Amino acid sequence: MKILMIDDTTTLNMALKDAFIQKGWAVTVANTDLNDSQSILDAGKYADDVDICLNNMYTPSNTQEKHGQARISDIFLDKWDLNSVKYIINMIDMSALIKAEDYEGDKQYRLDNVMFNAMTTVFNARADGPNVCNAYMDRDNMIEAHVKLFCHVIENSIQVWPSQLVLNKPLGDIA
Amino acid sequence: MKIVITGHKTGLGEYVSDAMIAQGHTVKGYSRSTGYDINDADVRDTILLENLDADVFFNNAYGRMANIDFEDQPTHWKRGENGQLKLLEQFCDAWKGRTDKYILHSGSKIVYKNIQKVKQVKTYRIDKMDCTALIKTYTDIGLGPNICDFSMGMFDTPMADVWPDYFIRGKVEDYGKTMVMFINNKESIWPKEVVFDNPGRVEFGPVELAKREGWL
Repeated sequence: MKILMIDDTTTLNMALKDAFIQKGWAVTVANTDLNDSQSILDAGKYADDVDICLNNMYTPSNTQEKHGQARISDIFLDKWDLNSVKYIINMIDMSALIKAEDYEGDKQYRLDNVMFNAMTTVFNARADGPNVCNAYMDRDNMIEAHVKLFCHVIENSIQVWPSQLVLNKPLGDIA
Repeated sequence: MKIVITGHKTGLGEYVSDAMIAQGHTVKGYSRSTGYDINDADVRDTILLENLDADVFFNNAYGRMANIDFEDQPTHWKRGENGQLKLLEQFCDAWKGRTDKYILHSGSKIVYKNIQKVKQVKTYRIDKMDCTALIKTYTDIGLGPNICDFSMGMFDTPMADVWPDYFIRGKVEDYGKTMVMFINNKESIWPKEVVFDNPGRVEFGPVELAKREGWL
């Protein structure tokens, strides 16, 4: 399994990278600057050499353009169009599923995730490849559980593939 | 852990039941072949009352394949008269506010497909949609129990035998493995909604399906 990670600097992304390597998978890290158009385009250069793109980094856009994570997704959807043996995992913040009136965090952050969610969900409604998984999650929590789950998903990617994962903490766990 | 499973004698229910027993958990199984038809209100009451102390309810059996007519919407089919939906509702109500209880629901990816014009799957889709809608109502409230709407594509169970051949079947164990993984990790992460399918499959959209059915 060859995996491209857009980032490996957060706690979760570092833990994922370590786990992937332990599994024996080849990991490439793009270290993309999501506010630099050239850097975003450069990430696409890995498309031919990897099986999975883990689109795991969000940075707010400093221009009027679509935010970098969404543009990374665009690039890989384009390069892997109709290719059913390629996989994209989009890590989307749970705020994408929260109503505006119920969300107390940063408005732009939520809007970016809502837009990204809408864009990739529309793609997922069609039947052709690549295989896209939208994982709605809180990237700062449940690190170990997320790592275990993503390893399981990737390990079984040839048999079953989730187009959607809403990854909650069990109720009552307020730690 | 005590786990209640409907439809534990075939397919996915059997896989999860065997896996849980192998891990040393207590499984209480209910299947039509062992005298438990979830379309019967008394049977549902029995299942609920015998298992209020369970940790996990795997709402697996659909129970209405016998009522599905692939030629048209059968006259005897009534919306909401669905054993799986009713049992789900009963467990949700009984475990309301219980954050230590978990319900894993066998849903269908068909809910997310706009194939209403294909008559053969209409009734099944409506039944599954009603379950998904009910789950969303409970998960939006967020008081408990923990519910996971586990939507799947088709796989090779006896239930799939009655579906047209052009629906592509995955394998029971492929979905089963993930369900077992979810149950085993339920206290650290609990996905409230997942949509799984077979990757790289040739899948038919509404137009292609309608053509195959002779509608177009």
